[in-house]
Amino acid sequence: MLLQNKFQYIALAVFSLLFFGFVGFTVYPQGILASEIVACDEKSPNETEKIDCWQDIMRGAFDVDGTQAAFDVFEVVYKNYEVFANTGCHRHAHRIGDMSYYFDYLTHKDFTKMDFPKGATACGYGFYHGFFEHLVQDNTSVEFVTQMCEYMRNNLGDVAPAISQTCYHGSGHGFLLARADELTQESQWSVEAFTQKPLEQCESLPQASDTEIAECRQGVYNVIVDWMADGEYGLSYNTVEPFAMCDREPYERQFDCYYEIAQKIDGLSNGDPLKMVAIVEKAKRVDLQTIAMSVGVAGVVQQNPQNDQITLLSACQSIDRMELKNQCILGIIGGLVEHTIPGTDYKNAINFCESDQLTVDERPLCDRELLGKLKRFRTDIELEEMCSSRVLSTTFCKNMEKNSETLSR
Amino acid sequence: MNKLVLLVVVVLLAGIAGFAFLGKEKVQQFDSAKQSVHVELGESGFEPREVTIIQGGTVTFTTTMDKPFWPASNLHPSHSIYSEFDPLRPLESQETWKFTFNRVGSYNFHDHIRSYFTGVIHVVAK
Repeated sequence: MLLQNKFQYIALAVFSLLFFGFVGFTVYPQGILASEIVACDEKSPNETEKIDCWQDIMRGAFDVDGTQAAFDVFEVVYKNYEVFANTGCHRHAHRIGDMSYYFDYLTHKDFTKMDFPKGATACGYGFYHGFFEHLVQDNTSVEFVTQMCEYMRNNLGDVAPAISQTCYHGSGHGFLLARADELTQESQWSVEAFTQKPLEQCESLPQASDTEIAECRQGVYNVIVDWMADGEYGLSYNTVEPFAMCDREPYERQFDCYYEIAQKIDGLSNGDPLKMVAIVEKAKRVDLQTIAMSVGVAGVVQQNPQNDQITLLSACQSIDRMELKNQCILGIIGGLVEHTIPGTDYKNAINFCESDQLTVDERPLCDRELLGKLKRFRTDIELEEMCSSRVLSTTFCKNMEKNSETLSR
Repeated sequence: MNKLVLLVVVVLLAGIAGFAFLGKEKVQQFDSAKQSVHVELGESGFEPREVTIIQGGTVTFTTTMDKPFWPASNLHPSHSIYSEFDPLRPLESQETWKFTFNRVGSYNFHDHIRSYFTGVIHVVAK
């Protein structure tokens, strides 16, 4: 039926205006967003410009709709473009932490008002590292760090089970960045000059546990090792004796130093676990050798986290020394869990521990490590739900309580 | 028939108007390109945050903060997109750093020390 009079035409026009406006407001941006993401891949000439382009989109999404919106873009890009996933998911997540600090925190300077969605734990808590490091860089007192990290512990445990360790780790980053502000002369630049004060700050945190102090120290060493690897401040990474710097540290700091120095040995060994053995065996203590092995292998996994890691597993299984072989396998798990994105329920890591290629002796090791890593990202209730929905295997779930007791000892 | 045509036209026009007006549209507008620009890093970030210069033009970077600064090309921390756009060291707070942009394109940049401070420089052909 055609309309009877002009008022009906006007009503129809208004209705159409509102209807298409609503569609334009909700559907059109999603379509535009998807096409922008694709355009970054098609129009950017190289991988760094693609990543820059995608980060621009994340920044735009953050500006409009906050952290979760940026992570929604992050997830789409990660799932669809290997170049993004394989170039350091943790580092990419740091950039969203930057955005959060600038677009959110700096507008009100009250961390209790911050938006921290559950998915922000992705990629080894990279978002939180990025956020905390800048917050502490600009608020460098031990008192502030304590207040902040204790707030995080008491309020974010449900969305981020490892939040307190993460907070202290990010604070270690921040202490070092703040220290760099003080060392303005080139003649002052040395590893010791940059790290001593931040390490002492970590060790003076009154409410941090021993583990959290270690995390803080690792945060300090992590930054300095990156600077060494990138040649910043005239520093350099010792490719011949990578652990020499750590051997000069006091005993209680050596483990944390080795942990972070080992982040780069995947490159030194070309991702070959057997070559990695030769490097880690330069460490003077077995506990340092094993942590270096585990971290080094996790670094290999980070380069290709979507891979099933079976070739890497075979290489691990060819290592003669039992403790290094085991740490190699555990490093695969660590890498898979730490470098995955939200919404995948850690399927790659879970499938790895169910692989037929694992021996009868290796499988329980794998399950125990998987549980320890999952606990960083999932509460006990969520792990139970993963069991009841069969995301986790029956065997894993049956042994979960026993493995939890082992982990807590 | 005339009424039908009128009806269709009204609906179409209203739809287009609604779509264009209320739907999100990305419109990029460049300031008129300049030969030289001064960008200052302050507590709120780079000002101006977005700059358009002519190819061969120069941007001068300073800071009002009493802290070192380090403007450089994305990506952080490698600065590889436009690797020459990098002083290669932290600048002291009283220093000035100038860079001449000889490559046409749009270059996101950041403060390497406080990477949450970002900006973009559009370089247009002469």
